Parts: sequence; structure tokens; C-alpha cells
Amino acid sequence: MYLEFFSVYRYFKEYIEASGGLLELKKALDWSVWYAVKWWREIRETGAAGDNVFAKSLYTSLLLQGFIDEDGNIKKEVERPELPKGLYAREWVEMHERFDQLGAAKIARDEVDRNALEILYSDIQIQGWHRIMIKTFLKAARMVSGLAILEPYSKEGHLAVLVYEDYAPSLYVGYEPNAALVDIAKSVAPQARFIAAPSACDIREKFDAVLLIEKMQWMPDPAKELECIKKALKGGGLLYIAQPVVESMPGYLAITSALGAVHVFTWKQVENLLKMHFTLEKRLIKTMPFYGAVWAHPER
Amino acid sequence: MQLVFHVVKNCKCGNVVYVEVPQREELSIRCPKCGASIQISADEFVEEVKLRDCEVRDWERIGALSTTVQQMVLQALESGRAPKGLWPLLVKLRDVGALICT
Ligand SMILES: [Zn+2]
Repeated sequence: MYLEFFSVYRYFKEYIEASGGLLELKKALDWSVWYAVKWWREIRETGAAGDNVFAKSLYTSLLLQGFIDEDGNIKKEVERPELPKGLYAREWVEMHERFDQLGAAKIARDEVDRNALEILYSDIQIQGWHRIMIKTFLKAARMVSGLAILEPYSKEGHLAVLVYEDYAPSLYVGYEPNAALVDIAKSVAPQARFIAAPSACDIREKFDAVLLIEKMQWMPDPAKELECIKKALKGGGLLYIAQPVVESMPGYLAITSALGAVHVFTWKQVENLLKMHFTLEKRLIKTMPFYGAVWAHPER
Repeated sequence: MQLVFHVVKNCKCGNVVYVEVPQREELSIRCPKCGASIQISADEFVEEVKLRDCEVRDWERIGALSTTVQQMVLQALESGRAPKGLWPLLVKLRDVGALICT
């Protein structure tokens, strides 16, 4: 599971150091597994492990990582890890703890207070670890200023804020199906433009770059949407993707799934979807702490 | 609770002028001290959330926030100002009645 640490370290040195070092980071990641096993046990014991993305994400990630068998029985007990001391590592553990307090079984049954989940989503977006994770990824992927950027599913506009903190895009357009969120995003990142639209096929401009950071899980039809994104991208334009996958942190994947995802993917599935429309420019990391790569529009 | 834009400008006469507006737009103002005209371009403004007389009505909701964000919210309530990234969260807290703002 931690085999990728070397490539991660190369690109995420800053993040790891801010977390308090590699050991601290490992403790933080162990917590994600510990909580995922706890939630899986709870939703099984209460018969809530039905047909929902939250349960599916727990099942597939724990199965693939060898913690449960195909019938969902726990085959590897996980010891409660030690609490990490680094600020970001602690924030990460606390996020799992807050989610845990909402009740995994309630979440799986869709009986949870939706407002609490909505508030948790906004909370996560401004947590230090999340900000630095995205910033480190953009830096590792060699993001530059002066680009016309498209952001699919721009939600509340948090990503635009991070981009404008470190870069000067020539244009920044976010599209989002939910019009209420578009209004919020406009307040959060007034420099950017936000459009209420269900798909990149509704966007007229052409872009140098697309930021697909924790986005693919929202797409009802990813293959179709990626085709629309390709049409919105200039020839040779780049697609920056950072996507938590089944092989990543099971707890975090489950949290993002509970926050309204429609899919969970393995890193291979992500690449197969991207391959249909783009060519791989550079893969930074396969799975840990997420799938991270740069893909290009096939025509130069 | 609203979003405001502010800028601090130095007039030729040495007077420091603080301008706060509800919208980001090009503006020409007069220095209150010497009457000279001061030009402000739209991108000079810094946006921030202004909280007027907001109070916590549901401490359980606030307590359920992450420690970092909880501190940001409490600090915002105390100072009356919040970074814009906090806006979506503050709107949600207000909408569920955890924050009451007049
Ligand atoms: Zn003056």
C-alpha cells in the first residue's frame, strides 16, 4: 500500500513536511483505513450496505486493499493507529472523526442530516491539508500562469481561489449544473467566471488547460463529459487530473462518495476513460494519495 | 452578512483613504482632506466577507466543524470580517439557523 511513497515523496515533499514527516503521514493514512473498516462494519451490522456509492466505495477499496473478502467479511483487523502530531495530519484525522460522528449507517441509508454533509463539504475545502494538497499537485504538474483555464463542476469556487493565489490565468471559467452554487462561487472567486451549465459542451470558448481535480466522481456520464471537455480544449491543451481512486485512502474516498459522488473508479478505469479522448503526457502518481497526471489533447 | 470590497489608497496630500464598496468596479473618489481626485481600478479592490451582528444560535453545529474552521468562524464573528473562502460555509450555517445575522 505504501509502495508509492518514493514517487509521492519526490512530488509531495512540501506536503509531507507540512504534515510532520513521512511517519506522521503514514499514521494519518492508517487512520483513513481504520475508519473505513469501522464504517464498513457498522453499515454491515445494521444491514445498510445496500446499493449506494458510499457503501460501494468502502466495499471496493477495502476488498482491493485486502481488508475484506468478496462476501464483505473483515479478514484483516486494523489496529487503532497512534494520533499524528503534525497539524495537517491531525486535520486529516479529524475530518474522518467528524464524518464518523454523523454515523456511517445513517449515511448509507440516506437518513443523515443533508445540511451536516453540505457543511462538511465546505469545511473540507478550506482545511489546510486540502489546500496544500491541491497546491502541491498543481506545482508538481508544472502549472503556469497565463493560461485560459476551464474548471468542470466548479461547485463553490474554492479551486479558483487556490489557483488565483499562485497563478495568473488569462481566463478562468468554471461550469456547474447547480445555479445556486454558481452564485456562491462568484462571491468566493470574483476574478473568475462561473456559468450554470451541465456540461462542457455548453461552453463556447476554447481553453489551454482543464482542471479535473476531484471532479470525475460527479460526472453522470464521464465518457461523454470527457468528450465535451476535449472539444473545449485547444489542440495540445492540457488536462490536469487529481482523482481519489479505489486504491487511494478508503476513508477519504468514502467521505467524498458520501458527499454526492455518482461513481468510484480504480486508477486504471480513470486512465481508460481518459485514453478515449486524450494522450498521457505525464503520470505523477498512480494511487497514493490519489491518481495524479497530466493528459494532453491529442492534436497538437 | 455580505460581501464587500475594500481598498486603502494614499492621496498626494498624505491622507490615507479607506474605501469600501458592495461591488468591484472602477471608481473615482475625492480625498476628504484636500479634495483631489483619486482613481481606483476594479482589480485594486480586495474582497472580504463582512458579518454584521452575527451570533451563534446552534453551538452544536459550530462544534461539529473541524477545529481549524471552527476557529476561523469564531474569529470572523469576533472581528466582523472573514476571508472569502469562508463564505459558502457561512451561508450554509446561516441557512440552517446556526448563525443569526441581522
Ligand atoms: Zn488628499
